[in-house]
Amino acid sequence: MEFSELVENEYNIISQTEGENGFRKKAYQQFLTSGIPTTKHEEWKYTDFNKVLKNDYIINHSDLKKEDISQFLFPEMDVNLIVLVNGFVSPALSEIKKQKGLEIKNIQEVEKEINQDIVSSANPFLFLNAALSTNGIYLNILDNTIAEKPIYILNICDKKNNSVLAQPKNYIKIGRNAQVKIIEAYYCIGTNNSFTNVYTEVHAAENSVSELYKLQIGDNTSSLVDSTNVYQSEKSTFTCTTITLNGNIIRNNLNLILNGEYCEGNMNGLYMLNGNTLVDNHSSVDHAVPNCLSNELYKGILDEKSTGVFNGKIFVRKDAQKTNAYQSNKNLLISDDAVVNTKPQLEIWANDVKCSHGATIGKLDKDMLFYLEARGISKKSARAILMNAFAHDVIDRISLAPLKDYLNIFILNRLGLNFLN
Amino acid sequence: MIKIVNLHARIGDKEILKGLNLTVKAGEVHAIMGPNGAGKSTLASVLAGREDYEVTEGSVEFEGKDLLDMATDVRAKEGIFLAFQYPVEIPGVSTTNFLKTAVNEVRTHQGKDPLDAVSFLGTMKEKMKIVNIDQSLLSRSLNEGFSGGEKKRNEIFQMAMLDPKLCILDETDSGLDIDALRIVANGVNTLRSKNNAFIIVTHYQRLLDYIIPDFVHVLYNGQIVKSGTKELALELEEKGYDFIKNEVNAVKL
Ligand SMILES: Nc1ncnc2c1ncn2[C@@H]1O[C@H](COP(=O)(O)OP(=O)(O)OP(=O)(O)O)[C@@H](O)[C@H]1O
Ligand SMILES: [Mg+2]
Repeated sequence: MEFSELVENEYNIISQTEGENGFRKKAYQQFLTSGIPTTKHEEWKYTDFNKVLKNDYIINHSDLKKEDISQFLFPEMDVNLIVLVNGFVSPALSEIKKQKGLEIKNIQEVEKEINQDIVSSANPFLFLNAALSTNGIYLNILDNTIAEKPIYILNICDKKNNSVLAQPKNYIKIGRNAQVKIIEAYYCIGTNNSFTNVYTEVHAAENSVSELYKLQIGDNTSSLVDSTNVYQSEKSTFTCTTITLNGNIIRNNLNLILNGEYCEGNMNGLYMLNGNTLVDNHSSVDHAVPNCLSNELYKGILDEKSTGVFNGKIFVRKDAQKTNAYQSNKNLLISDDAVVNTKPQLEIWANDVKCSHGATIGKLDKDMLFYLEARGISKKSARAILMNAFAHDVIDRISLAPLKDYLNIFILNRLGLNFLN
Repeated sequence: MIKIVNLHARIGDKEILKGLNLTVKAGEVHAIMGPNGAGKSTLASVLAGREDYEVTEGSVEFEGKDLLDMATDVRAKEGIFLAFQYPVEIPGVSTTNFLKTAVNEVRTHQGKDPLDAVSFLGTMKEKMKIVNIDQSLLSRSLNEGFSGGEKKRNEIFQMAMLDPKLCILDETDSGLDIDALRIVANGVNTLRSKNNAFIIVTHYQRLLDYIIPDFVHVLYNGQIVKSGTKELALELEEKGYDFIKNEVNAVKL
């Protein structure tokens, strides 16, 4: 089935079961107008999903067993686990322990109460998500609540029997003085194709402190568009860390909107790629008010024929005096066939601001390699040690020790560095 | 241990070593002195296997094997160690961590079992004493923000850990205060045995007060132009290199 046909059918089915829904209808129409962007579109210059969307996708439920997903869990971390399979919440696989002040629901139950803002992003995939998504997580951390356990949102595409289209949508509300750590992971099973188009909206209220980790570990037939909009109120601190280690084509749209003074917004990223993987990290931080701090560090290690794209926008509005905004994108090209396109985009209308940005693309340092080899370390291990070291400062920023260990081991294994464990 | 015959090496189209001969036997300590730019570090780099240099002529035999035929890491595994004149800084890699890889790759090459974490730490503790180096320094990023003396001590510490046969020390004494110089010299003397050998590149006689060399050579313009015993170092200290340069140039004429 053509993708447009699939979208139309699905929209009709949902409309019939659900009844009139103005929000959905509008989104659907907006999607029809925009279509899937091509590389002619400035924001999608390097990243074309049209080819990926030629596959014969099906939107379907799948019954995975506990043993199917155990490989994706963190045995050493006690979490509130929510599992989505093919974009649908699986109550049987999820494990939620009640905590006062913490609400975790399927977004379907509260859809009418939330009012998602999709228009301002002008992102066709957001329209598509809003038109077709029916499931996802609604997370509400009430005022003054500290979530005791990290929330683990595990997304799995089961593409054993057919190619899968998954479109979950999450709404995360972090109350005043509330604190929470959330992990969103994207994995898949099976050899068919999958395309996940997820939208997450975060509202971080006054004085809240939150961390969101995105773990993107697909395979060479899984593609992902991950759009996240974060609205921060006064004195809130929000940190997003996006780790991409595998996949076909991955596009991240991460937008921080700093609406209250004395906010801190952090964006960390690591992409470590091989094969033909393409990862496109588009981020923006909008300093709408004075006295906020934003800090962005993205690092990429690109091997074989992989491609990395980084586009980081910083807006400092006219009134946003005393803004501090820092951005850095560093890339290590391991092979001659790997490519990086990096572009900082600063638009500053205020005059009393501190902004810095830097982008580097380099190769492994010859002197460092020689030093290690002169100590008896094989070329392969020496290269691996340096790659691991390059990734280190992003990994070190992760505050959840089991997640950090998991990633360290994942990376060491990828590099074949068993002596270091 | 090592036999260098008529060694010529160049970088780009600049010839730096121009027919160098040197033989070092097990148990010996050789000091190499010579003016700046003579080719001392080049010799050290060529022996250690730096790829930037092209050997155009000559041969190097190490323990009966063709050294020039070996990859850099294999040379180290076979027992060559270079203490760098300018040790690089490697952010994100601690000495402890990379040494674990190094020691175990070397041991595996030599047919020994890799050290487990406990025995590795035990060996480390023991060798740390030799150069009086602190554990905290070894857990930091390699050489990053180390003082000049700390870097040099770290080199000798690594040497102790890897237990090489031929140790090449390239100006390990430069930038050391008197105490550090003594520590480093002590380290070398502790490691010295009848089974290993040292090539010590230095500009100063004072190191040789602590590490008594069996031979002293002068490297000038890509060749060893004069060899002698430790008295030669004293003579150089007193007269400078001019008398050697004059001798060499006189021969040329
Ligand atoms: N990468 C290079 N490119 C060009 N010339 C080089 C390079 N490396 C070394 N040389 C030159 O080779 C010559 C020998 O250098 P080398 O470092 O071996 O001297 P050295 O004897 O160790 O001197 P010093 O006592 O100052 O350490 C110098 O003239 C130096 O400029
Ligand atoms: Mg030198």
